[in-house]
Amino acid sequence: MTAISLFDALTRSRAASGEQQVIAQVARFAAKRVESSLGEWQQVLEYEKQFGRMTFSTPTEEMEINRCLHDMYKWAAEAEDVLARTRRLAASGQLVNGVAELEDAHCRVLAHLKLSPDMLSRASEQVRQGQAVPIKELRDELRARLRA
Amino acid sequence: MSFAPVFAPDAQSQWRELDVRLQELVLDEIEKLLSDAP
Repeated sequence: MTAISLFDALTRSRAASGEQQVIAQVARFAAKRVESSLGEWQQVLEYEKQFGRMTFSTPTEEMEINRCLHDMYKWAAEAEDVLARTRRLAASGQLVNGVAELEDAHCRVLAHLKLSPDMLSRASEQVRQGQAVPIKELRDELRARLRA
Repeated sequence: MSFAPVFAPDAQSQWRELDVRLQELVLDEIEKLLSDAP
């Protein structure tokens, strides 16, 4: 729950007055929203930790679990809503506690979202078929390219 | 339990498209993640 509409209403009606005390109150509300988003993020991380490293009995099961985990990353859209508001507050000189941590988490999830469940499934299948490339080979390749 | 880090061919292709500095960072980060794994 981000209470974004409440946040916006408060910002419009109260922060418009320009009074520092009012702006600080809005910032405290923003901090609560940030804290709430971070709490939800911790829950996503916990589920990812619990279920992201499971051994799957079938590729279908693996795909289904990966899709569920991918869906949880939709948290990013709500986090972005909160961050958009905190950035506006920051632009008006009011910093909000916890924003840096939320920005970091948001960036991490955006990176996660670049990998679709289909891409993960395809990669797992390639590894199952013995097509895996040891990381040492990539290191050696990189070093050779850098020396060239 | 120990882990042996590997790349799927698709991942290797994508890794090659990264800036060289990022290629090294990616490998470092993966090895760090594996060393921190439970």
